Amino acid sequence: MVFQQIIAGIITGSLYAIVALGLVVAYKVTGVMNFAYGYMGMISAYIFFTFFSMIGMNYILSFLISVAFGALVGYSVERGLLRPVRNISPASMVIITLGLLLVLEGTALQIWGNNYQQIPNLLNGVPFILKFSGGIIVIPQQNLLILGLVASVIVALILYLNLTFQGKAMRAVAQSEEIAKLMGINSNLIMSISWIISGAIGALAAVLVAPQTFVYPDMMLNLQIMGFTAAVLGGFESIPGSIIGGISIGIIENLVGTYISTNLKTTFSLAIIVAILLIKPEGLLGSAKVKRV
Amino acid sequence: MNKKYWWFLPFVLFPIPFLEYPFLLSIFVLIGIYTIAAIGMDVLTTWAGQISIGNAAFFAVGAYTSAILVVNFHVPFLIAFLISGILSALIGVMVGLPALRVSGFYLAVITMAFGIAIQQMIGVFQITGGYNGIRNIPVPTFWIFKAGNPIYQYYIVLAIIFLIFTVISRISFSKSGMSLFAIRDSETAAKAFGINLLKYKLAAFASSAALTGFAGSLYASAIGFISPSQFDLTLSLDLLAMVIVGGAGNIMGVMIGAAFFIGLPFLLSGYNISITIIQGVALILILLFLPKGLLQIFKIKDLFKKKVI
Repeated sequence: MVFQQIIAGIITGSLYAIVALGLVVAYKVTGVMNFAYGYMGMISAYIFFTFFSMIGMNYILSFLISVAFGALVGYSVERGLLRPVRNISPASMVIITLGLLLVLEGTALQIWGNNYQQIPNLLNGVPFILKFSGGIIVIPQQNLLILGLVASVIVALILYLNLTFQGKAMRAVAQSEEIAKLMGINSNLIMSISWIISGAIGALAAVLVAPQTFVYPDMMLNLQIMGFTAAVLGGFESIPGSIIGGISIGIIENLVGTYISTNLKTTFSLAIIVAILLIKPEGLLGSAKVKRV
Repeated sequence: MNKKYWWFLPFVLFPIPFLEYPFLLSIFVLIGIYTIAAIGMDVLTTWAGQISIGNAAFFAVGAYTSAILVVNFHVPFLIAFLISGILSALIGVMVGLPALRVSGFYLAVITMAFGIAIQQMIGVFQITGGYNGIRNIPVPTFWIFKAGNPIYQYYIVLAIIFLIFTVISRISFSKSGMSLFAIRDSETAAKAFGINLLKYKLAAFASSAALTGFAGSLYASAIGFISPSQFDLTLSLDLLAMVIVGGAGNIMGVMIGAAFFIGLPFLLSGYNISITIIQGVALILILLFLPKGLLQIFKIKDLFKKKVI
């Protein structure tokens, strides 16, 4: 029973982890806390729904199209909306992403209406069953797919950031934009790339979670809130941190939901996370910052 | 009377042409109520420099405290109103405690978590009516002010705003106000000058929460029906947006922000286009072209001035 809950927690947590990852990638390079992130993904889930359920295209092809669309949304938001106002205050930046959220929500309502749309799982075969002395663990195939895709995205991202020139340039811009520019790095290009990656990851998360949540304008709200919490728990600046943060929140949430209270699941999980942050204010893997006065 | 209070006179005369239109008056009342809540947000963000996206929780605490006291225990509204502000302030102190250790986005996420937790708890407990909420909250009646025409609510809300304005304009140039500005500009420097961070940060959270709680209490009686879904994350973000869109640090600006957010949906409700799109586009355009908020339009001199920085 406990193991079953922990496994289920890891699956939910892995979705929180990639949402956190997408937020952190955009935040580290451009310094924008993106409140519209989930809603950008939501549009891609609708694109998937349109191509797969309405036009009748192949599942994998629609999947790829929607992820590519997510990347395009990420690029256009950074290029068209955020770059012109790079120097405004953080609170104003939050409000700009709130404006974007409203626009995306309204657009989805206008085009696709308010109904809950269904998306089928890609893998619907016999669940994977693991028997051992303590009991049995049942894992549906779709969840294995989620886990596999999330793991490969994370590995690909870490390899990209550490091994390619562009990845190194991205880390350099994240550390100091000024100095990176002096070293001849095209920081505008790097910022666009970071949002392209972030947008694609958001679309991937939305399409993966859509079979469980259905597709509707607010479908990503919970995932986005938990993604933020995961990112903060992990230190908001660190990629391994957000993965650990996401998975631990998933596990905490599932255990709390089973053993303490289903109705107050979110409340208790958030209380635990706030408690952790009070003990370690810079997050699990973040580093304390010393500011010049 | 001091010169700076004169701008209030038009607001006293303003509703007279609308006496025959109670619906319009009730919208003005709502704008006033949100102005109070947004001033609470302004005190926290513009004065003390603490970001919060959980202020909807204080709004909810105020609304529910007042509604439960009035509906279940038949407490007079004035007492319920005061209790809801005090209770909100106490909870504000609780939320302010983490602010002593974390700041910036961490604080934003902690306050967001708090807002979501309160919303969920309200939905679960019996006394708050669960997800169905509380219905038939009576409109308060003071001696000559009988329920019926919202004009009385309008003047009550206006009087409260005037009171808040008087208190705030006193505080802002006192030692406490200056200490808050110092904390906003640099915590370390403020500490070095002997400013007690604990005291002032908690005071900022408490007063923000109290103002928002008062607004919540007025809201419950003005609307007459409350349920958890009214106090979601969007409300917290809207309160922050009212401050930024109108003009931070200025009650007039905050009022414009509230009018923009509450009035716009009513103006556009006749057209067959999603209001959220227009609201979102307007929000983005305002921040792109008027980064200091809508108040900039009225300061025409500033618009044509060359920027130094």
